[in-house]
Amino acid sequence: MFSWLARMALFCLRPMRRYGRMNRDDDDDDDHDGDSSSSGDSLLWSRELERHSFGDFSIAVVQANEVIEDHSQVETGNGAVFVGVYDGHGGPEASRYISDHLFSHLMRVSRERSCISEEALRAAFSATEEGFLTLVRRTCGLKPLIAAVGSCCLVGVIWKGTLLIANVGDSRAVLGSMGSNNNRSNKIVAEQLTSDHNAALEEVRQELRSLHPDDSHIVVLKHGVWRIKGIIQVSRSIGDAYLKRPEFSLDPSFPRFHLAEELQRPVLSAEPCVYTRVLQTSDKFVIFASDGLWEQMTNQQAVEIVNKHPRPGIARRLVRRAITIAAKKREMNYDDLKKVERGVRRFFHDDITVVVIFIDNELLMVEKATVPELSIKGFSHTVGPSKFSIFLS
Amino acid sequence: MAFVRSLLGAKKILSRSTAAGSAAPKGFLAVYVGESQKKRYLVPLSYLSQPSFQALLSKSEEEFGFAHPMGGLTIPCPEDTFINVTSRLQ
Repeated sequence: MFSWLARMALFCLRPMRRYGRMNRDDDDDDDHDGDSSSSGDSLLWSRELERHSFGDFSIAVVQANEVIEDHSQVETGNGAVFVGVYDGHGGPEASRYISDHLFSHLMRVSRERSCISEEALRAAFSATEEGFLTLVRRTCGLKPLIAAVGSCCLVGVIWKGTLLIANVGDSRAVLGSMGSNNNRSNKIVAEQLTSDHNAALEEVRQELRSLHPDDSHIVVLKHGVWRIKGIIQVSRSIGDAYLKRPEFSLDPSFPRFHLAEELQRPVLSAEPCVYTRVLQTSDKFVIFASDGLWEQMTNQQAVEIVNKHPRPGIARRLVRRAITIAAKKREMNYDDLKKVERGVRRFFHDDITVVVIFIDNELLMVEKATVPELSIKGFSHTVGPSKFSIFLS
Repeated sequence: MAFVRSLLGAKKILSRSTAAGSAAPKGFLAVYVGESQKKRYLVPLSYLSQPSFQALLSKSEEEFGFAHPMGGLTIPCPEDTFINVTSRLQ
């Protein structure tokens, strides 16, 4: 009798546990990655496993900055899914603005064209950049430093069996696929689908030097780190108005952002690199993550972790793994690091956002999969209806 | 300098007692202090919530950003300043 009841209860609970779990890290963890912590990390937020039309997804965020600068969203539509990872700098305003506006721009443009395309993504980026610069213009009188706020912006859409990606900045989308055509092994292989717009890369510095041949200080090596104009590492972004238009330049009372000479032409660009891929049966999942993850592990390490462990909580596992590595670099363990409060935490690691989108091949060609149409925002406990439903109905 | 350190007591600041790169004992963290030559100190985690210690960290951020060349936290101020600040912490 008891066991019958227990089984009944377990059966009822199971789907909820599988899809409904959202937590502040309360540590159940079976993590065998060298992390033996016994209590949770209050700055780590996650949703363990949710459904989209073509499979499952998992999302996790850890806060390091005093005010979180990473924003993110997943929109699950009927027959489509949208992912956005927005890694802000100089403050949260730009990344928050993108999270509030980019998706609506994309939906509007896509409705006009009756499809989600590379052009639609470019138009959505451009409208978001214009909107944010308008906000900067309106508010910089009261709050001059808004001109020095910017954000990386990585967006992915799966629609009609095709993956579209658009990116500015140094977040990454990394595909995990089984073997390659001439290699029929069962090994998971990482393929980076975005390029990092970061002055750490030689080709980025070359591009900047060729765009600014008259400026010998366009990229400067400072304490082993390449920075554009000696200030910033990313070469493309939304915002950073002071590096795009002379009207937004900051005076010498802001020494960190003051430019010795007036801007002749924009130093940063908001033009995204766009990528399209018709998904193949060997494509298993895509990891979208801010550079906070990638400065702690390689693409291949990340896809192997995803491939090796169960789906529920996989994004949180990646974040915890990254924090464990960050702790080790600082000669600490995670148990001690997770007691370090936000703000000070930034000296140990960055804000980290991870979204893992699994692709179940048998679902790819289904036109009308019934999934809850949800809008999930990173680090937020409220879930709203997605506007995807408007577009596809 | 050895005299100053002994005054501060082993509990508060431990000097270079363990090899760089290995994890600090539980409840402590390693910091690398000095202008050109860096010395490794172990300090209690509680220092991280002290405003004067946070000010030292912020100064290092202004200079280096968040990249710390030694791996561990680097505080590029003179050793005396560091000892001066930390000796006032409880």
